[in-house]
Amino acid sequence: MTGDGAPARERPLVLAADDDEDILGLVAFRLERSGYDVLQARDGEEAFELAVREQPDLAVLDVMMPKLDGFEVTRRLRAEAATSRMPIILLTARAQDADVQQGFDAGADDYIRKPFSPNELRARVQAILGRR
Amino acid sequence: MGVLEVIGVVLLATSLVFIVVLTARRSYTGSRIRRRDRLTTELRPLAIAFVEGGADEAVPEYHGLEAEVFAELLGGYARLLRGEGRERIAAYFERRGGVDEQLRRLESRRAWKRATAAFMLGDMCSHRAVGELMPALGDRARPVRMAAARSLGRLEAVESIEPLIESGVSGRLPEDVTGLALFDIGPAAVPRLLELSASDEPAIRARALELVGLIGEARDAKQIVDRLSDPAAAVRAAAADALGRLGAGEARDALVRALDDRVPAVRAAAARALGQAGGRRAAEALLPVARGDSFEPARAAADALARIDPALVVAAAAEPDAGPHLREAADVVSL
Repeated sequence: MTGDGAPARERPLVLAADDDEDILGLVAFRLERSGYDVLQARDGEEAFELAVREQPDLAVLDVMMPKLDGFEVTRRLRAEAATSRMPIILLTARAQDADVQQGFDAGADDYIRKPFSPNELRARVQAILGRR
Repeated sequence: MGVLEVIGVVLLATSLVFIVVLTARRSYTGSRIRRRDRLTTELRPLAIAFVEGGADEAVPEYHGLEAEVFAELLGGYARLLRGEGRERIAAYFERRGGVDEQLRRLESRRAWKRATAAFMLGDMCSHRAVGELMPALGDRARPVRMAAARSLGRLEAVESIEPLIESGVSGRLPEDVTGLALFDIGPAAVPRLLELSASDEPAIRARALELVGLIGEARDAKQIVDRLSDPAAAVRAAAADALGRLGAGEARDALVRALDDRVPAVRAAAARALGQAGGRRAAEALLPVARGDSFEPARAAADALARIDPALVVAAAAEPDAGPHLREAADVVSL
């Protein structure tokens, strides 16, 4: 295990969750090409379960997902001992300041607005994982 | 055989033909949908690899349904991406003739073809289409106008800001459609919107101000404060609303003066804006409006006061001259 609870791995593991297959494909492709292993979830419940079971090094969560939205997944992950310190980036089309604030209040570390730039996504993931 | 029997046989035969045709058509449509879904799954990895930096030569020369599906995939990614991915998509459609083909279809006599072309051009990310899409805002068919507006927004065509606003103001397009297009253009639209807030046409000034309030930032406020003394009441109200949305504290004094405007809708907008700006000076100015103005400004002032200083609202509501709006706001605060 690493110092903050995530298991030690050869390549960092990132959880990507989005109900849009195209976005999921783009996010996974860019992260894999940037040297990460990627777990994929297609709704909030699956994202939460995968995060608790696999304890990825970071999660990229869409806000508007079926079953549980990204805010709620973030809150639940923060409440779990095993995932309470997992960095979370929210991927959101809801660009109003209030939504961004809601994301931070729920415990997110960062957010990216859709439409998004894969380069920006990679840079933010690297920046967060590089700080750890 | 009698006439009735003949009619019966004809009807029966016609029904059978219809059933056969419908079944065949359904079967054809079903197989085409299944083939399209299969192709989408097959081509998705290649499309992702391409927008993420793959070589153009790695994409085969597709034809028919394959070409359609690949174009749809790239169009979908164009809606999701910013930056280099969009540039690759534009280059792909320009080199492979997709842009030229849709530009030709934009000249079609059939409205549905023009509308489809106008829509697809927005997803092809090529700025070459802007010059042809702007005249399409005046197309005789509404679906074409709407698709053109949407695509101009997707292409972030700053040069289309004025035609988009004119289309909305004139009623050629719903304001929501032009508004969404301008949102897509985003902060890059603000400088031109600020220029248009001084247009000769009051309706354009008002709409431009409304959009500055939605797209702009607090630093843009100082350029629209003067509009609070515009000759047109709709423009003054739009300026006040925009200043409120921008959260511009520096406009507070001008908004306090606007509480004395002769038009109630402007006073109400100024009250709402002061509620956003906050501060003691705003609260002091709002209190008499909440007590004694006409319905709309008084209600807006009471709500704004409740936002700035809930305790003040509760205290003021207990006084004999409070008026119904302060009392209502105090009730809401107490909930």
